Amino acid sequence: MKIYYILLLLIFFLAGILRFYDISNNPPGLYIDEVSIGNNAYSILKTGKDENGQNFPLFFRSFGDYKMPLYIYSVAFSMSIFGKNELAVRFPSALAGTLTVLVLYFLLKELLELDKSKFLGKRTKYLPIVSALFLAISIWHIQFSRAGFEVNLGVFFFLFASLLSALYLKKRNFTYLLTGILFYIFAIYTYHVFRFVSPVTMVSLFSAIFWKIPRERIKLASLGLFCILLMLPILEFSLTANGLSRFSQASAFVEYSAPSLLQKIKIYPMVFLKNYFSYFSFDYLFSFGDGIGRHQIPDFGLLPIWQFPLVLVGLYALIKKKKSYLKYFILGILIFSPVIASIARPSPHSLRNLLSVIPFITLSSIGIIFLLNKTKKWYKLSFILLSIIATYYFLLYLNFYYTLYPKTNILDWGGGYKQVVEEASSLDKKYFKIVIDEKLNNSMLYFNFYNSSISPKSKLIKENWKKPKEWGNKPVLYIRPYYGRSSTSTLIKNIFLPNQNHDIFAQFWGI
Amino acid sequence: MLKKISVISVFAVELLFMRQWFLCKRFKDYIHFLSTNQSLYLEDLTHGNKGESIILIRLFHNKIIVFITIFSKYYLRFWDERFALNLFSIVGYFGIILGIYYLINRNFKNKKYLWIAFIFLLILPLFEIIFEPVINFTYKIIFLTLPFQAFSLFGIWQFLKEDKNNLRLIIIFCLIFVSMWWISVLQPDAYNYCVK
Repeated sequence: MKIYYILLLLIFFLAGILRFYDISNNPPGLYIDEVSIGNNAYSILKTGKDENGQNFPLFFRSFGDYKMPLYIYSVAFSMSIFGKNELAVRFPSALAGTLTVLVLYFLLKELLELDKSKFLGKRTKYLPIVSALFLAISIWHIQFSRAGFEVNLGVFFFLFASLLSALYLKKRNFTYLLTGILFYIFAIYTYHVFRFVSPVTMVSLFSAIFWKIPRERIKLASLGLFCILLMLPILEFSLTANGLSRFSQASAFVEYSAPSLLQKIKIYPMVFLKNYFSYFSFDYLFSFGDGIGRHQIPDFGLLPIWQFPLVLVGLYALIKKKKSYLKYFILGILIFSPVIASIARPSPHSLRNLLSVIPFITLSSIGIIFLLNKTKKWYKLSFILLSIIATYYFLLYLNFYYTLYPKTNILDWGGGYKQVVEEASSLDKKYFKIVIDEKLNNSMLYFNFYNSSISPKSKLIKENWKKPKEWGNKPVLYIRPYYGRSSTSTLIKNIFLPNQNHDIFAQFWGI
Repeated sequence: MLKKISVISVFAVELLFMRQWFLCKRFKDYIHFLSTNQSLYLEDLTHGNKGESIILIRLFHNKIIVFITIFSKYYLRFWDERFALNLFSIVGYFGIILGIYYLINRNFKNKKYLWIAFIFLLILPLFEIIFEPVINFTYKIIFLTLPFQAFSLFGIWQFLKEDKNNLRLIIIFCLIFVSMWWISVLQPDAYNYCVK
């Protein structure tokens, strides 16, 4: 047993290194949602109000997408330690990502103990450690752990809640269940998709306990009431215009015209089904991902291609397994996780479906153990061969991630804006006003994040803007994208992107 | 009797799905493995790796690795749900999965022939992926899909064979219904993969 814990510790350190190393610089910049989270968190930390002046809000308006609160509050806490910087915004996600590896290990261990079955033979005991290792090196999970994505914290809460629920089923100690339910609700208040997955899991758990442990029914009913009470704010908010606005912004159905109710009934289920199937697409999972630059390295899927046969074999082995907690848990997440994401666009979307990383990782772990069981004579050789392929693929990924990705995908990460703020800050004192072309419309958020002192004298303007007469001859710094030369102003500086072609991101002109 | 009707219905649905491809002239390059793509990709990689150690570039961005990764991705695309659901229908694709499951799981008299048939199915898409044979697209789509349809009917039949309480029959009829619903609403989806 000791060797397992030493191995687990090593895997935990590996997970930590992969999630924390150079986190401030790679991904190469804070993307717009991270900046918004950072600005709100800092405002909460300093004033107790969000950027719109609301006291300790439960839902943050942000860009009208009404972000869930827990990640922002955790960033506020992280900022109290690290200050207002990239590390503080990404720290809660990276920490949650690292801890998820540990939690997955213990969760699978508990589920196997609950099932008391050895469906993979003698090597069943390896399942938790192999899964922990696969999650530690999962390119999908690393990608989302290294940036300020709320969903990653949600996955951690969800998994931790499931671990506590499993512990309750094993030890019948009600405190575990109570804490577990609290964490399911934390997940709901962290990211939108858990508004469906958490309640479905809780209802399934409650039903299982209701039938299996009759003496707990009264406690269960009180706990159910407690749950509803805690979820009331979100239920109430979901029905308001603001709550519904997020749905209408991202709804997958707006692309299909269906004026009458009958047409809606005809079209929408198929749109949902089409999107739902897309979450199991091989192309999406193993080859190209969802095509959004922030969500994966170009031409890398979400799962390494060598895991493709393992996932299929794992699925086969799990389907063949008789009724068990492990089977229901893994297949349950696999089936229910993409449901909410399927009513949104674009689909597939690896961020909204991050929870699926857990079943896919577990399936590939089951697959590898199942296959190694079958290769009796060739066990060692197969093991060595698979290890070599997996190591090579992972090194290839690291090479891409640290050398190519920061160059090819810098624009996906708001690259260039930080330099603009830094340069503008160094020139600030020489100018009466700073005007910014509206094509760089995210600039104000970045000014607010990196140097809020120059925000008040900065202003967004349209392309054909003219200097107001009342400003007279006072010098104005004009920041705009590259349009070519201007006859009326003097070029002060070009801001180059550190990408392959060293493109000009912005130009500074003196007026 | 109902079981036989359901298998015939599945075949009819598969033919209906195949029919939507008859208007196409050729597959888009979505599933075609082109050596030029490989060279361009390799050039892109080496360009982006400027300043990196030559050993690392040779180790990670060599022709063999690029060939294996790109080729496997194009091959997987043929089996991708989004593509296959438009080619074989939901119920047809379900049948193919069932076929594979029963092939591994059940004992048949002539199992080795079934395995040969399955290996043929694995190889069949390679002709289009690698060579893109220049023949009438209608014939091409028939040659390409008929063997898969036969295999899916085998899977569906195996699934229904042991149906004691008609639950499986209901599942198949539901899938037939959903497939018909799908094609009536999302028909133009096939044209994401072929040139009209």
